[in-house]
Amino acid sequence: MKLPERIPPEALISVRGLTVEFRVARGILTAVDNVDLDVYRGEVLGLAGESGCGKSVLAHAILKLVDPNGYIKSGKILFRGKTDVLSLPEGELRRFRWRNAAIIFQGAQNALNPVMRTSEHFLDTFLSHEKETGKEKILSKSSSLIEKLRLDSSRVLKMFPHEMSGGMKQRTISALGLLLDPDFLILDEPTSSLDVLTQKYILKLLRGIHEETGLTMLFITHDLATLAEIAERIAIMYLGNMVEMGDVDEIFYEPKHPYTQVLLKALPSIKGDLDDIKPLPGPVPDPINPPPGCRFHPRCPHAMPICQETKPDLTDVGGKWFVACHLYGGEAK
Amino acid sequence: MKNPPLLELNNVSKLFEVGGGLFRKPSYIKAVENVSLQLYEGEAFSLVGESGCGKSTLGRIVLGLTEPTYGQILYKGKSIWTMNRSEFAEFRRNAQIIHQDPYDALNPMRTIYGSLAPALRRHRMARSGRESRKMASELLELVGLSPPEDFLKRYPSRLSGGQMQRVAIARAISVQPSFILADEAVSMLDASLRINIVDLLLSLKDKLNMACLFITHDFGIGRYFTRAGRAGVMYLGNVVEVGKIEDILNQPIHPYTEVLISVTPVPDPKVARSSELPPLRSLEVPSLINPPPGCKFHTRCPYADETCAEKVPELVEVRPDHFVACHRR
Repeated sequence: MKLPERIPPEALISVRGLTVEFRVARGILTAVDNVDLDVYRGEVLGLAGESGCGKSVLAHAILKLVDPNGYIKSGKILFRGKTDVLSLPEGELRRFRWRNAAIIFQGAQNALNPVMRTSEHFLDTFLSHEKETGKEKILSKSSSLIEKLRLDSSRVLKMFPHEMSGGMKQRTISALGLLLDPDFLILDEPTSSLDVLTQKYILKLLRGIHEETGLTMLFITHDLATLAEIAERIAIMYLGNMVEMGDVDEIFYEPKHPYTQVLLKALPSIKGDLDDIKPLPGPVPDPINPPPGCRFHPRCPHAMPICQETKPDLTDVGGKWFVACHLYGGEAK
Repeated sequence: MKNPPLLELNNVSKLFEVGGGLFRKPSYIKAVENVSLQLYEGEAFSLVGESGCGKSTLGRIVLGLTEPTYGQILYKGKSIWTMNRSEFAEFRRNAQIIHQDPYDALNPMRTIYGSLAPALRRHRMARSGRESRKMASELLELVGLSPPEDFLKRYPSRLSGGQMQRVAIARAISVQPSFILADEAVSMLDASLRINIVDLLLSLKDKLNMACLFITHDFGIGRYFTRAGRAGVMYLGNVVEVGKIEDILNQPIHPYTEVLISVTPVPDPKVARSSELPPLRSLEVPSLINPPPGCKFHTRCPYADETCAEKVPELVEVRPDHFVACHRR
């Protein structure tokens, strides 16, 4: 994977050469393999791929969060081109999380403590990061955030999690993520477990907050259709590798990487010709013994001999549109 | 479709008791109310609705797992709740289910063979151990899990979600049912995997001539499943619209159907960005314990008037083969 060594000035978060491995029963699993990624200031970047492609592992690693059986083997994560998150001392790392970068985990609705009221969740979160602030001030801030997500704050703040619907919980959690005014918000599958109607509503609300505050967001999902609505740029991962990164319209209307192309063809829709929808070819390879060369070559309709031997680097095919595929190997530059 | 239906629901309702005590009267939840539906041999039918609309309860009723409080279900013209034991057992063999959560549907302590064999033996599909082993292999081959010998020995923890769902499908078809209920069978899977599983279901449906009721909250996948067939839309226990899915998608009549269609994600950035939120009067779904009187949708409906608040709309044929329960049509 190769993005320019020099960090572009508009990048808020830059990942360079990140490798994350896990010890599993059958050996070592490389969940993220030498990945580069830039998240530009003030954008919504969508990160997509099938489950097991490493998208969540990558996003969590940005906050230096890795499950106990895993470790960050190598790489750098730079905040504003300077601070290396991975070498921050514990205290500063703690401040970086929530204050600079917050995350809303997958299935976050279940992350609420069942015996705590919403107001206690907000107080708890705030006070564990800033001890000085008074309760009144925190609660008034909390209620304005909750109102921003179009919930009745006077009611919601008094509620226990079991009294709220899935959509209410998801919105409460989103408000909690915004509590400490982070510069950067990671949303890991925030809408996947919700109904289409609630999903649409939350996407619109998040989009509205983004437009109003310019908050930088990384939106992770396995469902590309939701990214069409919220993302400005899209990054596609496959088996631990970044395969394509570009503007949302470029990715949807003229996808370059064969994997992006088949991924988009596999989406059902209420519009268009049913015969244009095609299932993904072949099975997902074993992530512990991934294929050599380009990891997609066994399933790729355009595979060439070189694809079995050499792993393609991300290449700029013009206008910060990056593709890791031998089909576009020498084309750019 | 002039043959008699394979399965028929006549004014089916299901009430659940909630609360209540020694001196307190219980309240009732009408999970399903006055639903009539016909399913024909070999038909693919999609039932679309939000969570909590009663579509899963309706599924349980169709399978004979829950007895409806009112109304009748007929299988090949015969009411299933007045059948004798052997007839009922035969019906149950013919009506199988694929659950939403493949991780929950398989016993983690049993190998795949251990999950497939009991059904084969119980319904006397296989007479000996050797025969059931052979049949289990053939079934796995049929659902695209090969080499089958390798999979038969495995435990569910060694399978991916998609593979588990294939095993669940293999188990459902193992007893040669004439009807399959797929209850949100692909919604837990990766978006990119869903149509692989739907394709599998469709090919088996054709091969084995099964009718299939596909319950989903996503019109996109429902359309992919039903193709040119029929679909129904459910809201708070009522079926509010039934017809050919292309008619419903192109010319929805019920305001709730319009809403559901408008919020279905479209994989096209220009369309998606310009989409608006539906003109609903309220986002929250009313409680099932005290549903609104009249048309249950009237509290959220942008077009509702006094009639809607008072009178329950009947499901009537508004266009050929297109039924709607709405006063405004």
